[in-house]
Amino acid sequence: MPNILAIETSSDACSLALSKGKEIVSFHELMPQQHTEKLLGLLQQLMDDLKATYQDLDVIAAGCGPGSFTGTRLACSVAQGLAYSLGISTIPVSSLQVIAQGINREFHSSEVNVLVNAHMGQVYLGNFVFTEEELKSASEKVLKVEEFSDLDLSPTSVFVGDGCELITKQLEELGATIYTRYPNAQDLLSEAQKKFSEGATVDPKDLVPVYLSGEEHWVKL
Amino acid sequence: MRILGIETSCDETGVAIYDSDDNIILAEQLFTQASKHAQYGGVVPELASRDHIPKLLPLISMTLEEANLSPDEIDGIAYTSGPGLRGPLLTGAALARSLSIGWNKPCVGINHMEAHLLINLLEKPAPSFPFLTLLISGGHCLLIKASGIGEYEQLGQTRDDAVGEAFDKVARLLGLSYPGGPEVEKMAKEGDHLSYVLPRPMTKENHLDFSFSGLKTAVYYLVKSQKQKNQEFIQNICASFQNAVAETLINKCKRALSVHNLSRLVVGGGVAANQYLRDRLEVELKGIDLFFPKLERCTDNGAMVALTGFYRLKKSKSETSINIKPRWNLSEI
Amino acid sequence: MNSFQLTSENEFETRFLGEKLSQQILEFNFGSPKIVFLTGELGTGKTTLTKGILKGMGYKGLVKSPTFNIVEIYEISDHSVFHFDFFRIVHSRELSEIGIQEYLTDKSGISIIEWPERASSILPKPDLKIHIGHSSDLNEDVRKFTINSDHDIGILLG
Repeated sequence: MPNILAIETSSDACSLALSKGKEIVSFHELMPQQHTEKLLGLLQQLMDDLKATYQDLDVIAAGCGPGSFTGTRLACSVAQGLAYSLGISTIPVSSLQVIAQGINREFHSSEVNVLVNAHMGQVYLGNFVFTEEELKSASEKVLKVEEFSDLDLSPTSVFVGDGCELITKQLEELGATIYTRYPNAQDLLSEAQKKFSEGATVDPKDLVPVYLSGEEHWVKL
Repeated sequence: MRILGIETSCDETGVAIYDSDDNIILAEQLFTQASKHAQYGGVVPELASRDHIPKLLPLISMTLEEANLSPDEIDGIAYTSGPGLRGPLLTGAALARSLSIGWNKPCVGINHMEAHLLINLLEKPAPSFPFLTLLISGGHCLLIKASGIGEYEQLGQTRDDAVGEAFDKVARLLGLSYPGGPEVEKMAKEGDHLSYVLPRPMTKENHLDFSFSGLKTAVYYLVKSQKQKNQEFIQNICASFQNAVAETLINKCKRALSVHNLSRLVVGGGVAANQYLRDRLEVELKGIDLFFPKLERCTDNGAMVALTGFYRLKKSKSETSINIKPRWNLSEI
Repeated sequence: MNSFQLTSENEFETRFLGEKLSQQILEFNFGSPKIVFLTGELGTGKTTLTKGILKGMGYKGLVKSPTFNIVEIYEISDHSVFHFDFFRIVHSRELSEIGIQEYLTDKSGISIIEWPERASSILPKPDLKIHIGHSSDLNEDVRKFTINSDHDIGILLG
């Protein structure tokens, strides 16, 4: 098994995971506005817990958004700097996908809609379809809250994320299942293990945040 | 020692390597975003933050290549910790700290204003301490007495707009593009600097603070009252405005030099690139040793960060967190 | 809506108006955030008025233009004054990144906002709206103030 460091700071949760061989340690805590200050100390703590050093790492995974602009930049910049200086590569994963995969693993849901509050009346919407644990299709975009009423949402899919609160009424009418979850680095780590085995890594120079910024943005697999 | 410096406090991405043995910059790279911000009439913090990220690693590897050095041959890393815009500062700080972990090198966050102040130590001849520093840029207007490395006393500052901000706002009033400094300077070349009488704010007062807000207002009224805003009018306003700025700065510098018994003046910051201002200072501060950085080192750059990082690493311990100080005052060093 | 107009003959009077306004502002919504919008062209004296407001609230230090930093923060005994300049804000989302909600919902906070029109969609209704205009005869010193508020601000007329 590769040794992977996973950094996900795109939400209020500061979520980190480290694998060394078969051992995994992680940290996941809600700590809004404190990610920048605490991140490097927390990473060192994980290293110490596994008696690992940064030089042991094979690859660094980062949740590259969309989400908090600042948090997303933090994860990308730290992953860039560590990977470049260690001479290893990186694995970017959408922060919406990280949430969806967590739900899929836990509840085996086949269709997951991730809604993350983009603030200022907007919501990031990610639609993820799975066959068992295999991701089959993914799409991501940013929408205005009022645009949701025009969407044909499937009642059989599950809904997750802090953006659900913005369309509570519509979701209740739909009778859909709603979960609460922040992107978790353990889910990012599992995805990174898979991508690493497939050789789907990127040069640290090319690891950049995804903002979606009002443009429609489709990720095709 | 060889120090890698990283500057991202605003809209310039600067990277350089300083070698203290020879007191030279071995290599430097600069990417300026100014043209992207021009359409908004000023630096947009969110755009600036976004632009640093894809630029930093390519610039760092180009700088290492240009200096023909491997990371092993770097002894430390310095980044701008503040003052500056929070988002842009964060990108440089996070990257610098992470590089220092992977390379296992000491890392230090430096003060941007100290970096502007020390950049002239790269020039020959370099100013010897003590000296007076006039720092003039888009975000600042400061008079500082430097008695040694890390020994700074702030003597004066702007009470409203920074000098560069006054240039930008006057340019906007005249329909010139952003950044206003070079545009106003270009126009002023063809104008008569005595054509309009503009105020020299606070020059009659004994303190060493500045004010440029009233100057902008005076220009507003000249523009409003003029029916024909032809090229000649704009050129004359620009020339008169520069004249007023120059005389205000010279007045305060003279006062500071005399009150604090100093004979050397170091000028730095983006506005120090203004040739008219340089010429006026040269003419009117006879008997004073004047020091200007090279034109490309007036604006933000990685060289000044690398140089300052060398002095700071000698003094302080390497920090371990990502530390940014958007409002870091020079006197709090 | 209470609305009235005032004329200031010079910068000194503008500051004095700011000092008078400061006492009114402090009385708005006891124990809740207070929000002031300042509009007007470049060079009308928005920052000058803010200096007066801060002085009236007891702030003795330097008041700098917030153009470069977007926000300047002043701590006064019981209050924090946030002086914003949104001129360079092109996407209202940027404001959530600088933590605008924390400023605007700070119970002891007073937000004085220049160029609020840049972010009107996300800003709450102000307690006080002040528009500063140049005088019609282009007298360099004279300014016209148009003040609007849902609160009782009649005392200013006296």
